[in-house]
Amino acid sequence: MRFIDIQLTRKYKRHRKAYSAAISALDQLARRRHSAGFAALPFEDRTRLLAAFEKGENSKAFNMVLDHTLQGYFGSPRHGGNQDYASWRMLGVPPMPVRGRLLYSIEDPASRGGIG
Amino acid sequence: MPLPMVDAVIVGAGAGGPIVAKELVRAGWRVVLLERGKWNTPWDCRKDDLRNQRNPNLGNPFGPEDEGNPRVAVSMDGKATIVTPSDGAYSNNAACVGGGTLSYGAMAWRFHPYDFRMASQYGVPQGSTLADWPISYDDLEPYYEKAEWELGVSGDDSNNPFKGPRKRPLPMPPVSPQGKEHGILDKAARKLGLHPFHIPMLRNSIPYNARPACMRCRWCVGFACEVDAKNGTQNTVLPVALKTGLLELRTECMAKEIVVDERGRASGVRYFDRDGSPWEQPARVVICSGGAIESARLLLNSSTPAFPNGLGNRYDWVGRNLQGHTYSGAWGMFDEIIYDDLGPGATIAISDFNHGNPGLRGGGALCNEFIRLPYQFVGSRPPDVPRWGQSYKDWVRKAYRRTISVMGPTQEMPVFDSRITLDPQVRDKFGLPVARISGPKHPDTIEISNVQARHAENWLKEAGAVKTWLRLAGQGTSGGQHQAGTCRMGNDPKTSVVDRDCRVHDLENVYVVDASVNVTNGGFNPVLTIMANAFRAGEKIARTHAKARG
Repeated sequence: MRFIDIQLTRKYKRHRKAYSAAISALDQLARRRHSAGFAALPFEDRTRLLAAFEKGENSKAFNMVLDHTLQGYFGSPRHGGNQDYASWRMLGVPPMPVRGRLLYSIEDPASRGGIG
Repeated sequence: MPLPMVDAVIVGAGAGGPIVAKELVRAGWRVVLLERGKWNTPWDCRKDDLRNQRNPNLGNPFGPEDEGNPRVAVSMDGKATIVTPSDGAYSNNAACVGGGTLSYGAMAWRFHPYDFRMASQYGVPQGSTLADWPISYDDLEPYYEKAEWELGVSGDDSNNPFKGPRKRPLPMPPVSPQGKEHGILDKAARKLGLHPFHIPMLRNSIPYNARPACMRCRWCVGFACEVDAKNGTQNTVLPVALKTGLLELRTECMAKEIVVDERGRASGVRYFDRDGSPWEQPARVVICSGGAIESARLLLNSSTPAFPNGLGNRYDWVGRNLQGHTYSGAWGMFDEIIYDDLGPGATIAISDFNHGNPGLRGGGALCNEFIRLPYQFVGSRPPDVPRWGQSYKDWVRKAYRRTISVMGPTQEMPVFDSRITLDPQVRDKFGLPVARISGPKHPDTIEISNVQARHAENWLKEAGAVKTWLRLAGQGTSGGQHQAGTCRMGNDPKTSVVDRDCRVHDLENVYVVDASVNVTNGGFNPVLTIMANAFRAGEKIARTHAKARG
């Protein structure tokens, strides 16, 4: 979320209109099916709605948001997503190496932490 | 405004230009090298998974900038779109000192001897302009060696019988220790009767040329090296050439046109500096080394009443036969954890399927892939895994450290209508017509690449993968970082743009020295061939246009 919010003011400025349109389309779909806004629905309903949204006329917008979400979650924390390297810890990717790591052993990856 | 006359002006400081510059200053020439980009360093792109030359989601750190540098890409259904350098359809390489060689993966292949005579070897398929090169592997062999030793290549291809003769071994051993993938794939390939070997890489495995060895980090391809262990033109031939005092490198200078008189004699290059001011650099010899798309664009943008269709374009061959590589391969999922965080990742290859595939013309090398940064990995799901939600996340969590990817560059069958033209409307920030990219891949190329993907899958199965899935190539215009072919080298001026010495047929003193001249692009990454040919052409140019003594 933070990644997308930040990038919509920078590199992804050009996608702002598409985001507004997608959000209101999703909200309309939610109100049609559940008589409530998307954000107010329980997790299971939201998941089902997103699955419907993915397949219909909004698939292009869905793909864009999905890709931006993956970028935020798996990309470098400096862009606002992946806070505290959450996704890297989930995957078991070691943290950034200290520059000049050649000075340390590279024989045993486990000694660098994160890999088991 | 004209500047003082020099012996040569070279446009583009990528893989080819600085090598030609070095060969010319060695002969005592005064040379000006124009580069549209900056002299970037690793600190312009600090281990950023979303802003690097391979994943330019948030921009290309090594140029060009998204603002003011458009191209037009025409899709298979004929729809033209204005694209920016961070769009895939732009076919961007890089625009900086060193060009692609600053941030590449650095595979340093010699083409196979057959790659220089594909038409004689296999016959020409319908709908393709497949042809032989006017030079052979043997002509290039001494220059391959020169590139390997002057720039620095590590690796060991002694177990590969499918290669041309090599007179001298590589200057550096492979990186050590080998990663886990390497061991697993090596064993499996041998069991299949294949011939695995260590990929030659323009990367220091030991200190070389007064720079250190690779520190084995995972931010390699797409990034400049933080310890300067990756060998591009910017940290090898260029400093050597600059040290002589005979070479002047002018960065952020964009060539507008080559100035040619009605008899076909060039007098220099007009260009814009970083402030947009116009200059004219007079020179005895002009060399285009801007890459297959920009070199073709420059020749086309240099039209005059005597050359109304652009330079070298009397027979409409400039910009034609645009090629890259059609990548395909497979993924394999293993029970055990494979990931060991040892960069660069790609270390092992087989060349068993570059040639000799029954019923097919050519093929390509197969290699294990560079380390997949997390964001690069997330699109690599097998078809039965959903794209999002809990089960997707469960899969990513399990698969990231348990997969190996094998893939390779299929040699493409050149197509006449796959091409660069000037867009009739769109202009860049200097007001120059931009490149318009269009045309299909040859159907045989797709067929061959699908066979390569099966070979990759078999290799992974033999290695013990519990699940495999294919990565197949799509249609669409080729090009990208391996862009080549647009100013074909040939003996017949009616079916090529430059002669065997890379001189433009119609012109006395204009040369193209980059992948544009590649008749075919091999089943390998093309950079070492570009470099070897630049050493060869540079030597030839210095001799042909020798300076008057005195």
